[in-house]
Amino acid sequence: MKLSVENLAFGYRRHPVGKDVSFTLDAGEVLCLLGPNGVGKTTLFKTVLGLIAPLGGAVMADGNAINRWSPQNLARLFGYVPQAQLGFFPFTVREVVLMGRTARIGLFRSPSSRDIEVAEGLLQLLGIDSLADRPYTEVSGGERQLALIARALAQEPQVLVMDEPTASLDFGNQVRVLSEIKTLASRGIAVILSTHDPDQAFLCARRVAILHRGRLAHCGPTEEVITPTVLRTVYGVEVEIVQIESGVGEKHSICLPSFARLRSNMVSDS
Amino acid sequence: MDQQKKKSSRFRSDALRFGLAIVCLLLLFLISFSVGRFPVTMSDLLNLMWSKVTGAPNNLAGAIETVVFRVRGPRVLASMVVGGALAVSGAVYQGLFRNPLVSPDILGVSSGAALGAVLGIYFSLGVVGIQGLAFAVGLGAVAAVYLIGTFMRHHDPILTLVLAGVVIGTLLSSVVGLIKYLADPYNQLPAITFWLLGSLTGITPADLGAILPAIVAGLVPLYLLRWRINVMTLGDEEAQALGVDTQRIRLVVIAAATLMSAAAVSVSGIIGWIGLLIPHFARLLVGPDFARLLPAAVLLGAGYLLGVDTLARTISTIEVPLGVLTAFIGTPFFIWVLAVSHRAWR
Amino acid sequence: MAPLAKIWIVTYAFLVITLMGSLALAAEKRTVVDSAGRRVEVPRKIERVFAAGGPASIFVYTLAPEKLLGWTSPLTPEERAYIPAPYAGLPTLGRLTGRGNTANVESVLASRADVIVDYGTINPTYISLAERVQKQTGVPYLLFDGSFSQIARIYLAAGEALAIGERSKELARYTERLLADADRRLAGLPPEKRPSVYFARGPRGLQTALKGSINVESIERIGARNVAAEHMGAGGLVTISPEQLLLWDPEVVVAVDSAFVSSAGTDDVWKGIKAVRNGRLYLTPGDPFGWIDSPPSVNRLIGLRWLGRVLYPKSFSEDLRAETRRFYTLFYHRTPDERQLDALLDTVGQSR
Repeated sequence: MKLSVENLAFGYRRHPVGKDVSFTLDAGEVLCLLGPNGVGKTTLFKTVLGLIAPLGGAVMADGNAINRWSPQNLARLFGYVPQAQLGFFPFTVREVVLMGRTARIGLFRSPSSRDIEVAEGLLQLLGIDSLADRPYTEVSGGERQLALIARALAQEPQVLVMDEPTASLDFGNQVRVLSEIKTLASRGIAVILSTHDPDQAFLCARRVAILHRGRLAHCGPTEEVITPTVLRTVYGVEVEIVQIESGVGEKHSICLPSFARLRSNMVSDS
Repeated sequence: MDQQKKKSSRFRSDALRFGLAIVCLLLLFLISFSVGRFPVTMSDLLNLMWSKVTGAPNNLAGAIETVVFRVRGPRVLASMVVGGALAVSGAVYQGLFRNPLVSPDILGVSSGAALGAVLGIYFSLGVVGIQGLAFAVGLGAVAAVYLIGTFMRHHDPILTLVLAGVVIGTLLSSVVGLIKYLADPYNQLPAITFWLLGSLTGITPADLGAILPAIVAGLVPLYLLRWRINVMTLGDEEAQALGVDTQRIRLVVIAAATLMSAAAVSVSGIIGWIGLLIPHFARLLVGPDFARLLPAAVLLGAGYLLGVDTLARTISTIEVPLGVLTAFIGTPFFIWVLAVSHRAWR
Repeated sequence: MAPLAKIWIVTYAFLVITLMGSLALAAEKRTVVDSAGRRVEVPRKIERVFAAGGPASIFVYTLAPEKLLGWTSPLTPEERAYIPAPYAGLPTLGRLTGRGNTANVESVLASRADVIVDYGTINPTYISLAERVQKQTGVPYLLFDGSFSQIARIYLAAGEALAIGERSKELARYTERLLADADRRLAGLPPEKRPSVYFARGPRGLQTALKGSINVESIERIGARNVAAEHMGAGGLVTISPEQLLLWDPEVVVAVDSAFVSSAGTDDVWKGIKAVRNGRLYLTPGDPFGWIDSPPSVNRLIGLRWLGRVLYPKSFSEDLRAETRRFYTLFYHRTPDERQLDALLDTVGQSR
């Protein structure tokens, strides 16, 4: 399975947001979309998913353009994890996860026992099975996010599209989710997630794409793309990329904000 | 194994609750059937039923048979059918529009039906003409709203529908006002006023036969699409991302709900509160899953209107309009429901 | 002449002239008392009358058509056929009273009316409306009692108020003769011989009027038993249920809606009613103005005679044609031709 986005122009007819976006994603790959708030990451995702019509260019899955695919087929390809909102009706967490099975449930049918099995399994996987019968509207923000991830996984998608999946999660859940992402990738699912935190990219993504001023400023292996220069351009702050070694001998990079240089820059600017 | 046990136990408790509800409804039906202006004793009733079933002749006055099968019977059945239809329409619209204050009128079916009926009265058509016109204009109004909604390419298709519904509904209501103004104050205006307040007086077996196919034609697709309807409550984008063809499902849902409400309103006039209140109550009892919400709404709506209509024809010598009664009874009830419900809306 | 005498003569002349002037002015106006007991100043000569509502326009049309300024709502072609051309062509001025006012008070002024005449129920609402309009426009507003029993008396009172002598007496005489004749024929008719009547309005015939309602005044005057009133007492218009209808099973049904009458024979509920089975369902004639109500004005007089024939055919055995011709000529100023008489009277004895 190869997802390929070619020269995609996205946005709304009166408000174009970006253009000339091209990247590819293979099965088992994790691609991180990095960019500040408001740059258009969500809009880009919705365009790739087929929820918004593109203003130009195409999205191809294994060489086929997806712009004419039915919602059902798109839902079997893409699992979308949006930013969690307050639910409106008090469906149980289990029912919310079951909604992910919709694309595989017949038009006139209800979820089967197999669907319920899959849902239960995912609830356990993400550690929220104790909440299965609680109303979605009454659980915490983080728990809602996990439920949405379970819902997307229930679709058994080939590509998982996650919009700031760790935004409302506590530290423990963040780690769990990132680890789950790596596991999913190892099972052959392609993952594309957006974040504004470069460290997350370092932790789980092999490739990174930077969205800056409506264009994909950079796209490539994480280590190559995330540099202090790039981060200065995109975020306007000074950071140092530091190489560290973990207890088990794994090499890892982290971003270290450079407060001293930031202060001196501010002083020299004024 | 645990899943299976949980599922079957929940199914059993569901079946129990629904069974209980059906029994209550049946009881209410029998009680309503035996009260009314024309005195029909229980023995007369049983006698009549027996003779119908066995084909044996009975020695009852012909009027009793007319009352039971041609007057009271159709009316009692019609109140259940209309109540159930309005309640289900309200339930499905509340989900589709993600708004607890939505009633079946939101897309203008009631304003359209009102206009149709008022035109029928103004042009002195017979009853069939009045009902037919009410049905047709009710459907037409929603069709117009839907077309406007599709032609206005906006982010949120739901919002455009609601706005178009408000606009068309207001326009049609003002035309109704104009016709009331022009109508003959001695003959037509009282008839118009009475129709607009809602009533099941004078309903015939033919009326019932006319609306049943439309209501069944609306209920069936809604039940078949119960799971998709659940997913639609997430909003247009999320539902689409989960694989629901939101445009088509929305069209079918609106068509089905409109068919049911237009048919109901064409014989009963404007009866408010059922489409707004009953789905709330049903949701509090059985939760938002439409597979359970639909039958719950049908049973509760049928029972509610059956009870209210029985009151309407027995509490006073004159016929009390239904719309007035449903509001009087419904309002305090609704306030109570809001006060005790702990499942908060947003 | 002495200067003092000159002053006296001038002063005296001035006084005389002023006195004569005010006498003359006073002679321009006179005071009348209307049915509400209001003392209203009206001009000595009244040529232009504005009718405040439907019943009033009919009342004024019968009494003094040449003074009527206009109708309250447009005349239908059916109505026009019975009204002579100059009057049929009068403009539509709208209603000042009644359900749903449509006249603009300015149009009252624009019409340069001498008086406004209202004919109908006398109650504080209509009295206060009369006061308001009178104050606002300066046009005298006269209220006349529209109840059926008062028709003769009110014709005389209105005749006096509008300074129409002979004509009002003629109409009052006709009215009294009609009522006396009806009373005479029905005198000594025992209650058993008086049929039970149901007055059916609306497309389903389920709307009716209770005791004392203006819509059934003529039915009650002819001594019929209004079944709805017997069971439900006094009141106005009400809607009943078919169950009540089956219970009451009236012997005669008098209806106003033609669509209802055509469907009654096949309607499940109605076809079992005694009146329908025995062919005693009658459609009230309605051109140009309804014979029983719609609107409830002097047009009901001929309706009384019609009711007599319909309800008590033995006591009112002769044909209605002559009387109808007479009434229409006298009250509506136009003799109907034979075809029109046929159309009007076709409903007597007709039930399907």
